[in-house]
Amino acid sequence: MKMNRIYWLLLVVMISCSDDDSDDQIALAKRGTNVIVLNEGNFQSANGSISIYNTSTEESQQKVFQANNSSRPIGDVVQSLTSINDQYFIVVNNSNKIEVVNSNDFTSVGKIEGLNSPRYILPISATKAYVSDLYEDKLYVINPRTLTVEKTIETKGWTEQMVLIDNKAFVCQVDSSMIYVFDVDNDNLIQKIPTNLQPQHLEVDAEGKLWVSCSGGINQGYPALHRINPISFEVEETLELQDNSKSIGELEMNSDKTKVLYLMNDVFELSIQDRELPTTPKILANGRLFYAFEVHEKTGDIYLSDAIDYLQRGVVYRMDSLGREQTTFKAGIIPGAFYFQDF
Amino acid sequence: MGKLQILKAMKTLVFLLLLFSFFLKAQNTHTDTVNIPRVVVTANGAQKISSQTIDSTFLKHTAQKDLGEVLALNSNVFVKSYGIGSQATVSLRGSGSSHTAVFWNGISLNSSMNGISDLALFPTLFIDNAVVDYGNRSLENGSGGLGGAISLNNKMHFKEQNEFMLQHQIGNFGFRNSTLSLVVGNEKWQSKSRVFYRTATNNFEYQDFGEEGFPTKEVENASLKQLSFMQSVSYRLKEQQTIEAHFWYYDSDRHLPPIITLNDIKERQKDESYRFLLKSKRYIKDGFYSLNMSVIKDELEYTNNRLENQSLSENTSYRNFAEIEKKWNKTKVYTRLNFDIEQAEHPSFSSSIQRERSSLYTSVSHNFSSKLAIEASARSEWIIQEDQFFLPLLSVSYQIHTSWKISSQLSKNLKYPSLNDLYWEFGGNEELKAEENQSAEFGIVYNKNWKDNLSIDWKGTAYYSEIDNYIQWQPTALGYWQAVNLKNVRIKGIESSLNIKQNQGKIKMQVSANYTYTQSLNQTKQHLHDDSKGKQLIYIPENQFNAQLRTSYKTYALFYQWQFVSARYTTTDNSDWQPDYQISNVGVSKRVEKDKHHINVEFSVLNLFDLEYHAIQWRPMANRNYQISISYQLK
Repeated sequence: MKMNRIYWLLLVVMISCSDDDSDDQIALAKRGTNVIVLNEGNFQSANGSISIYNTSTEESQQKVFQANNSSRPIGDVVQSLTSINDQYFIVVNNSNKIEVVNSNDFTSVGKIEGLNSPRYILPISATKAYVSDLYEDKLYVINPRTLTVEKTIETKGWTEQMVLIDNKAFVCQVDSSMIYVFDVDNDNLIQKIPTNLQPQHLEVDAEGKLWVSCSGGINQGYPALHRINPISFEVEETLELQDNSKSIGELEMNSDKTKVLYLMNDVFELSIQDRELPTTPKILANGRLFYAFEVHEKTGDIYLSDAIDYLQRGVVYRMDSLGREQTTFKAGIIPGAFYFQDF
Repeated sequence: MGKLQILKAMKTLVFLLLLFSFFLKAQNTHTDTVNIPRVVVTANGAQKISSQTIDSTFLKHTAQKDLGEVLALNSNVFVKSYGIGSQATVSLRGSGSSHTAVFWNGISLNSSMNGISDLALFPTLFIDNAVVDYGNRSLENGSGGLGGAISLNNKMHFKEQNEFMLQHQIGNFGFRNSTLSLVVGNEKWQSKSRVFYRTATNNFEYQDFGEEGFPTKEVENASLKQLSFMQSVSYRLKEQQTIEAHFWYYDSDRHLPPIITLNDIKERQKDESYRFLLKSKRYIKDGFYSLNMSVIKDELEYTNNRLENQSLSENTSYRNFAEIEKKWNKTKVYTRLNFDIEQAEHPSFSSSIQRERSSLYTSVSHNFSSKLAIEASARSEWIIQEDQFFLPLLSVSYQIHTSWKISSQLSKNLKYPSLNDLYWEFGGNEELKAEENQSAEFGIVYNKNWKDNLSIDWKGTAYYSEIDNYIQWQPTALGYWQAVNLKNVRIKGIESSLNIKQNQGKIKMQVSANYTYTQSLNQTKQHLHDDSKGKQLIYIPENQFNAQLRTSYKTYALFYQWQFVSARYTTTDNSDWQPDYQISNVGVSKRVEKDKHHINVEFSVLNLFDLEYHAIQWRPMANRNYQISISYQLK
């Protein structure tokens, strides 16, 4: 019957219709500065991504990893990026892996797996680096050449940011409120420095001293900044905010490392010689929801992210070193960290 | 996005319409026989606008494993499924899953803790009758159904009967399902026992988009084991007085399938619930009254291999109501008084929580003529020692013709925050306001029966609804998430539902189709760079179609089911979305009857075209699979 043939034809047409969903490759600009934005994505939603904004072209590219790796998504909670051996080691916290990519085009060269919930990487040499972890009670020692986990070091719960000074690794031990100091030659624990509750961020200033920001927990203790002598391990200064309900977050240095900036809803700034926390902010939030920030060492510009409602593309503000807004651009979901590729 | 999807949907719709017309045409060649028109007895629900009774044939269809799957194919709701056997929540009229109220014999089953009901835990064997009430039609049963309500009812029939039914299903991925039911009784008393047991490995194949080359893998950690039984007893004390008791136990142990790129996390959820309901009903002249008491206890245990301790939550609710209905001439009055006590315990509550709620609902409907009817009702709700609300409803319906009826409704509803929204530590917010809703709708109902046993029922509704103080959880500067009254939402939609039945001697045919259009837009801009204003809420598809065709010849039957769901946004600024998908199922069955023995064998193919799709981003759904079902009935 004639009708039958029409039905079969329609059926065939129906099935053969399909979308071609592949992303086009994204070429990175090679002038000015590439601002690499790590977008965490929502927890357990696998929608983390990487955005790149170029200061010369003033254009931002989205989902760069996915576009340059055959539409493969990067994973769940993109936490940090570290440059080792001309490659970028990108920690994808909740997908328990480190993606390793070429720094010029973000194409994948491999990955390191077998980690629990990695957070940050501390490069020590071309063949050695430490990886901190949220749940594991250990630091991983990885080989960035062979992309393998070589050993583990015992710790006590959640480890966060780390800094290398004179062959010593200073590691934030968040749950026990300490800075652990390891000798990187033999991986031995040589010192524990007590701090206020929940130390998470570390920076080194122009005088070689170590700054750490402590959130103070949730309504438990006072948030504070500590200035630590990395040779004597003495806590030389403690700048405390006598208010349980507040929480100090991210800590960064300005271009010449003579000033400390931190995030507590607004952005605050103080000199490394100050003995007390500032009372007035440098940059007022004014209804914006600052989530993360970073100072561009080369220009002194301050990049601030705003996650808005955490369920849409966040926005990044570029301020000059005085805190005046210069430009804004869209990034991905919950922009959490910035890295700079200068040309 | 947009054009290609619409084009695809149009192609499929055209195909289906041609298919319908093919069958209809074939029937019309036999008009010479004289047939007595079938008397169509429809329950009240079918005649009410914005109320949809799920046809019992489709409700009991074994190709659909649970209530979630049945609704996805037979109504205007959107079922958000996390994977085969995993949690399935329902979104009605563009609202959230906590805005769908689920009632069992008039008792609310929504969790007092998170306000939702998981439809994957409702095997259809245990439900005799299911009605979807869209929008504020749901006010009769309770408040909180801002999107609407699903009512699941058990029917007891006082007649001499002895019925035994045993059914066994086998399918791919280790799917084994057995159900047993025994109905015994006479005109004085009835007993109905039902048992259900299911295991599945759910190791279907999927493409892992998180690995280079997108290798095909088998799902791990998705197995489940479920057991449930329901015992119902009813007794006719006197001619007008009956007592009914139901006890329903459910035990479910599910390993939750992973998200792509999160292969290492092994999640497991155990749900256990005890539900007991006691009902006493007395019929009076032109009316009835009844007293209903229930105890609902739910336990949920969640673990994953990263957490040190499991998360255990327990909630017990005592939900009771008394109702009375009386008719005089052209007026009908119905009143219901509810009293609930909700208790909950969880490590994230600083102490165990108890809340008491009471509400009074009264509805007066009057037939001004044989054509015009007006109903006015109001619900008053008290959250003891906290708050009080008044929710009115006005509905007018007019029978313009024997086959056509139009109606219009204006109403208000509200959803009080759940216990988690208020008391969770940290992030619960005791300052939260209730979510409020105003809505207006207009509907048309058409039904006609023809001489040659053809009947057509069509319903169309257009509605407009506003939800204020929409609750959403948001991260705070202190690191934890908090529930806030975040925004206002404006929803516009259309629901259309068509049912065609025709019997032609030994050939029977039934076609049903549903179309849903939902535009659910956020109206709030949080600050300058917030791009979510005027955008569709996440995981609310704009267009949905579903259709079923069932035809039988003597003892053979054939069915075809089709479902289309348009793209769903995954971000509030609509910058990202999940593509649309369409699923087809097909099957054949054969019935053998001898004396009192009835055997039915059915073979079905699900996801016929083997589509690789995700209902929720990065959560794979089952590819093509087969199922055989054998049932034996003695009656």
